[in-house]
Amino acid sequence: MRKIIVFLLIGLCSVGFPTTLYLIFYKAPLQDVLYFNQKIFYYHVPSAFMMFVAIFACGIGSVLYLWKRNPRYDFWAQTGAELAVLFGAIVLMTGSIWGKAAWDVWWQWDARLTSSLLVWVIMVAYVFVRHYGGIGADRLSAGLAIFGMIDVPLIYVSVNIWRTIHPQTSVVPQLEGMMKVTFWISVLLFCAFFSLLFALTMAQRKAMAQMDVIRESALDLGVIE
Amino acid sequence: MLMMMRIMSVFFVITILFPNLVIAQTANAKTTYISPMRQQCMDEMKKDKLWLANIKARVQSDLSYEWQNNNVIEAAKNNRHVIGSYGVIWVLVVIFVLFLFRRHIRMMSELKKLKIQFDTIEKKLADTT
Amino acid sequence: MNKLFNNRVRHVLELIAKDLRIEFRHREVLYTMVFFSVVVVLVFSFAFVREGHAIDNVAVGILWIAILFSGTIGISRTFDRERQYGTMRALLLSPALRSAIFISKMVSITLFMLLTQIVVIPLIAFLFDVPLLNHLGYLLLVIFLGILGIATVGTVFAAMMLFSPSREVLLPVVLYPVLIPLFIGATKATDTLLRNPLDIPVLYFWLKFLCVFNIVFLLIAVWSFEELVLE
Repeated sequence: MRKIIVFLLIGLCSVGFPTTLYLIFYKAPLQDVLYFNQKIFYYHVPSAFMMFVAIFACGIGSVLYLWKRNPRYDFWAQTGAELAVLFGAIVLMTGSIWGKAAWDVWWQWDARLTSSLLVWVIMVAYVFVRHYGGIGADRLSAGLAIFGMIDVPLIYVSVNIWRTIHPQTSVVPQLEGMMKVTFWISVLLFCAFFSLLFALTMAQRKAMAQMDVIRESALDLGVIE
Repeated sequence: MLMMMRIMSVFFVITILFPNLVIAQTANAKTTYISPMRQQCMDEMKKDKLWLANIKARVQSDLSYEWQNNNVIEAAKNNRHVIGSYGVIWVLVVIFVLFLFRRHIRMMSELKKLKIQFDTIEKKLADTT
Repeated sequence: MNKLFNNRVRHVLELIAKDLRIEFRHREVLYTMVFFSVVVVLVFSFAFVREGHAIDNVAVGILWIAILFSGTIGISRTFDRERQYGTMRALLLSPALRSAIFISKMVSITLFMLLTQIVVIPLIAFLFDVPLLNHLGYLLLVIFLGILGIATVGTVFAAMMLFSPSREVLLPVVLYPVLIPLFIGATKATDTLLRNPLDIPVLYFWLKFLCVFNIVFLLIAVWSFEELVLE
């Protein structure tokens, strides 16, 4: 069953990437403010959506793990955090290139950018803690994820009021026609891509957990030392 | 005596030339105008980044509105940033997949080692019984 | 029911008294925190002084950075004695609730951080020539709320990292991103205190924000402390 899903997702992604590239560069019309550089946004915004989905997965997984202590929820949380780091890096770097193209500044401290940066930093801290934390790392990172998630509205409020004078960065105009179609197909593609990466990483994490169990029992039996 | 004459002549030259130098400089200074608003404008531009970006865009040739309106085809093809961003996405995804792949390889090698260990122990047990 | 509550309060007070008694015997953590914050302020002074006097508007940021850094070293030492002498197990086996342990540690570290501010605030007002002590009541309130927030989140993370090998490094890594809204609120609130006609609505907004932050994280910490710290 899982194999079928994974192959289906691989098929969707391998069809989706060329299709979206074709649509973006040949079918979607040129926007009249940024001309060609606007095409960055067809991959930038879906990545942002997926980053928030991954962060949501990490937070929910952490809460469920602390409540039920089922290792599956811990795998959700870890996978969510790793994918949040990936998609967050994509969003921040493409966003800053977009900013350079549109307003000639690499970075601006406005509410949305700073909040995403902070949440991304919390996810990077989660990955570090998981990797270097030692024995109690699962509880520590779950606590971090929970505190981080509770912090997100507070981050948004404080940064919003901190930057009361900020230029408008939401340049997502009213999309129409071919741009709208292209955009939503990109979103679907990124959902498929995210699910594929999530499934693969989850499978790998489960295998690693089983490997740990085997290693522990082998150590106990004295087979290896 | 000669020494004193040399010193006197140097002194004489300096006292004649120096006021002329000063006068010459002030004369130059009077002809070029330096606006008293320079510092204020530069401070304001530092504070209002969007204005600075607009001015820079006007001065640079490839992103300003007039330039793009007049040179639509070249502007439409201005693709450095787009190539940069898609390249960044590609690189990041490749790095992530490599990371997953490395973990996979590490796990497979450990599995193989354990399998070998288990096989030798099984053989030993089969030999002894 | 009343007796139960009295018991809990008594446990908390006894634990606080124990921590304070041990600490004031040698005052090691307190003195090192004070000295470290003074050193941090000095380093930042050298970083931000141009042509003999400090750049404008840096004093508030430096104050809160000094509080944050010295608080971090204090928090990472909070559970040191428990870990070193193995008394954490004794604490967990005692009839005191886990949340009582948390509250006692949080209160003691808050007290230490407040005591260090007795030295740091006049030092900053003196070195950077800012009218920091004008509205002393509000200043103390802002400092208290900020330190309370740092102590709450820091104690939870320090307790979770009790037996973790790289806890010294991981504590700042984990603590600072979560504390950034508190940092923004505290610096903005302290900033309003430096203006001469006191901007009351802005100050009250940030005070309310700090209160919300503290209440939310205090509740989350007390509720989740049982789950998060097992050992």
